[in-house]
Amino acid sequence: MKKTHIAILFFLITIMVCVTNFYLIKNATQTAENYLEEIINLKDQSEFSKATQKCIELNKIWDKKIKILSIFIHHESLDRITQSLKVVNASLENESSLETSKSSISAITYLKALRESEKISLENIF
Amino acid sequence: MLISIFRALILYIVITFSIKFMGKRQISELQTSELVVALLISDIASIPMQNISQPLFSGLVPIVVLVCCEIFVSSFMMKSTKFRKLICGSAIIIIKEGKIQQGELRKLRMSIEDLYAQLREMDVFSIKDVAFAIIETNGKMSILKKSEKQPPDAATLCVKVPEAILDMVVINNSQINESSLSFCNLDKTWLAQTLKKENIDQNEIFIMTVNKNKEFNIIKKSN
Repeated sequence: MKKTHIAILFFLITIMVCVTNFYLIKNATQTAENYLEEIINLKDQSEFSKATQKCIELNKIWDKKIKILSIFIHHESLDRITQSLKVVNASLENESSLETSKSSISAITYLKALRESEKISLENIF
Repeated sequence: MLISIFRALILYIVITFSIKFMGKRQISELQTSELVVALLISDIASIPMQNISQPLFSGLVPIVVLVCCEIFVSSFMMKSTKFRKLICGSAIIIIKEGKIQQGELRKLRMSIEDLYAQLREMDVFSIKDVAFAIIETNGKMSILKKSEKQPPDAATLCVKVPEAILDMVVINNSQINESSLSFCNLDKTWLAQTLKKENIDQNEIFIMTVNKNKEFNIIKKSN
């Protein structure tokens, strides 16, 4: 096998890894965001127990996804999201509407920022 | 800290493989693109090695991309002379038929002191001895001395000299090097017989060299 062919193969593998990473992040952040929106809606309807259940579910899903995501993403930004999801859970357990809203919005912001940071755009490249 | 050890090991393997993959060259012989890649790789690798919160992939991906780019660029340079000239530049003659090309020296931002220093490094102590001096694309200087200043060789003197024979290390620190043996058209049987004849054990040998004429030299291990 010629050296150029090996280089092409490695290059393609790298691109594949990066594309997989992009879709993994997109999928994980989108799922978490949908869950959080649902939690906000449930909280607005004062259904705190259902919202708490959803949040526990979300935390479990996130804990699974974080294992793969941490291979590609800066661990600090993942820790920040994990922490904010835990805050959402705690505020729901305390049935604090204002705290839940605040923490959910900040978690959504972090998730959006993470997804945006992986997008191929001029502002990200430069 | 344990993670740092694993990361350092992975990056060491990747960088060693990358440099080997790019081709064996000395630092002084690096072309512009190779130098850029070598500098960047060392810098990129150090970040995820030290900062364990940074994913290893953030270091590995740019290394692979840079190495692949280097391979693509060098492959393309082999095919296109124009591209090669664009990336590596071209050799510049700074002394032509004994005359210093002052314009070229200015373009290279090379002072007369630099020129003399480089000449002295090549055992040339007078500029009058040089017919041609060329700055190669890797920055090294090559010189051609004037005919009368060149040492005579066997062909010039019409002297018949024995053919040059390469000595190969066949035993290094008691370890047999089979590729060196086969290079000399010899095998392990010949080696065993020779050692038996010399009444020496393989484990006692520090270095043994052989050439194609089966002439050998043995250096024993010191106590």
